[in-house]
Amino acid sequence: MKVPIRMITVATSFTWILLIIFSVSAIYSMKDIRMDVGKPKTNITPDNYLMLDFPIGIVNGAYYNLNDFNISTEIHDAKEGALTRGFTFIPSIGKGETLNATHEMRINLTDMLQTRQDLLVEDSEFRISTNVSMKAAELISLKVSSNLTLPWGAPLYNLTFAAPKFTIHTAPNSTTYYTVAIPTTFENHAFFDIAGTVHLSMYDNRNVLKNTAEIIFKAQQQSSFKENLQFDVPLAGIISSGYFKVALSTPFLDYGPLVIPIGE
Amino acid sequence: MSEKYIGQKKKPSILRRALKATIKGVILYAVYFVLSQFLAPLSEFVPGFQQIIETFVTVYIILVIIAELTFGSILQHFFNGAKALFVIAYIMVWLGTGTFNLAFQNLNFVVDIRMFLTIAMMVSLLGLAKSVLQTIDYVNEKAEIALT
Repeated sequence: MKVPIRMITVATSFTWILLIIFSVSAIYSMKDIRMDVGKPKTNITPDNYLMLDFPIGIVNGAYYNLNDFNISTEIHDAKEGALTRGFTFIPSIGKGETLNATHEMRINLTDMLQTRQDLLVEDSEFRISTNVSMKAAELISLKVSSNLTLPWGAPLYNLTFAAPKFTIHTAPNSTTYYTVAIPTTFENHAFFDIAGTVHLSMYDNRNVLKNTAEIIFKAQQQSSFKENLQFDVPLAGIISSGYFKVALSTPFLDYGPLVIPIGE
Repeated sequence: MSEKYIGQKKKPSILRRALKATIKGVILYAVYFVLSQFLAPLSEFVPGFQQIIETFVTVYIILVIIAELTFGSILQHFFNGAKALFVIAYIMVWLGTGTFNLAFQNLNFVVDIRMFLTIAMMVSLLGLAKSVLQTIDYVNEKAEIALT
């Protein structure tokens, strides 16, 4: 029995030494794993998706390879609804290797802004739930989760239509007409430009459509829009009381109609 | 005569056993001291990690010293078994299910060391089996001496 006992002693001692050296070196070297997430780059695709590209830099300074590196993110709005999810999978990062990747997320702007019209005119905050999982040295699984916030800037923040102004003009051919000007202000807090059409419909107090107009508008990101939406109305079409219906239409959002009273 | 016979082997004197126990204790402590330098960063994340390791090392070294001092008697095998059981029990109690939840700043870490735990338990069980075999061998030798 002496030989088997000696063999077991050798085997257990050897395994313990290997296990201790491995675990200590794996834990010690984990401090040299770094992951940096940069500011997202935003872009709108022709099919109206807002692309958020997060640049990610991973430095594996550990003594062992990292496998099954998985980054998953989920964006929630303030009402706890999930807007989108993103996944990035990196099969393996070798020891001493530096890897730069991009974590992509796509938000369907049309769907989001049609269902949450308050996001058009009110700034908000999105919550980003991030989960990073990896397998270090084939033996130790590590999951890191974190919550970040992403500010949402409303594209039509503080949209205001002032009372319409009517100015009488006489054309060179002696016809008289009115120019209607609706002072319009808003701030585009979004990280994308918006451009579209304002549809104006003028109704009298008996709800009879008297005139319509379409005006093109454009607002750069992070800028204020302060313009008069103006159009001409023949003298016969002018009304003393009634209302305007104003609707905005862009490739990825429709807003309105809003009602602006006349003669009150 | 300073040495007694155990089976066919000589039983070392208490002075020699004490010296051997001291050397083993010092070596184990030195190994712990060196390894603890590498594991120090982990103490920032795992509360009480240093204390957990210190308690383990203290009890383990005590059991090694006692087992060495009682060399040549049935008590040596008893303490060797206790040492193996202590390692198994400590791994089970401390590591639990093999997954840890740690919080650091606004990050939550979940560390899954079930694979590591399984290997450590298997090796510990092998250690326990070894001490059982040693005990059987010792009792066997005693019985042979009694018969002859």
